[in-house]
Amino acid sequence: MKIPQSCFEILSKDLLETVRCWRNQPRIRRNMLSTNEITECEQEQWSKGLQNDMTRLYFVYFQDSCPLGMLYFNEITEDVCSWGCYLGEEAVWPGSGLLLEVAALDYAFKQLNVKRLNAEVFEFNVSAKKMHQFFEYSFEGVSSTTYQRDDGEYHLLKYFYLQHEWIERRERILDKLPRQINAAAKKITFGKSNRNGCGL
Amino acid sequence: MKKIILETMQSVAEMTECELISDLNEETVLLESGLDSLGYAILVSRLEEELGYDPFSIMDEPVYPRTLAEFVNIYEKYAPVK
Repeated sequence: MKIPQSCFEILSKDLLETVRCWRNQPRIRRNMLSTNEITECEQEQWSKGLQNDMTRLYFVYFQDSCPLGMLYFNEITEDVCSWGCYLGEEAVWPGSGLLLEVAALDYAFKQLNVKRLNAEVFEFNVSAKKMHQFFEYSFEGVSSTTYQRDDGEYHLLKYFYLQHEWIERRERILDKLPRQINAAAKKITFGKSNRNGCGL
Repeated sequence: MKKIILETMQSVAEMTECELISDLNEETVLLESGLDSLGYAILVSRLEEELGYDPFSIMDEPVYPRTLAEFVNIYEKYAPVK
């Protein structure tokens, strides 16, 4: 069985424009706190802000050497961080979103060694909600703030995961996944991070 | 092939409580079809049970589908010769 290699590399300067194009797609902007289109200048400023920022880490998701999407951690402290992700490309190995979930949990708890991982999704983002439920996140509550979209105002749903829970549940949850995804999860690797936000 | 895939998609969507978009057609982008990542992973497993092969695990060079038509084409291309 041939299984793609999933490799997460720290965001580098040569992929900034690719990432900006991904981020500006309507299907991705709709799920972000800020729905504005990002200009080249704003992207440049954003990337400068990542340098030497120990609280944020941005990885590009490579599948068999092709850049496909983003996995990022922010609000990183010694004990806690938050994460998010998206698939920027549309042509992907079926089930790739599940690998982003596994990668996020593994990196947060094994590499960053935080005790708690936070996640937020918009209430209309059904697939992300179901994914968090499948991986057995705890539901914390609903944001008091609402966010405007074309079709109305929406809340954020807040989830969290504790380090000891993932350690206890990891194998059982991976065993619930289809065989090929379970196998692909074993082929996830991370490039070296110097914890300064990016490789820019 | 297309019929088998569409029927299996519908069955997986019901099982995973996904709602396929009403105007699902050949040009539908898979990420926008209503079936989520778990659904697609299960779909590939179910089709392997049904058809006896998983094209994504036998292709030499990885080619991943963007649309429903491309997904069907991959299954047709890698179907075992009878």
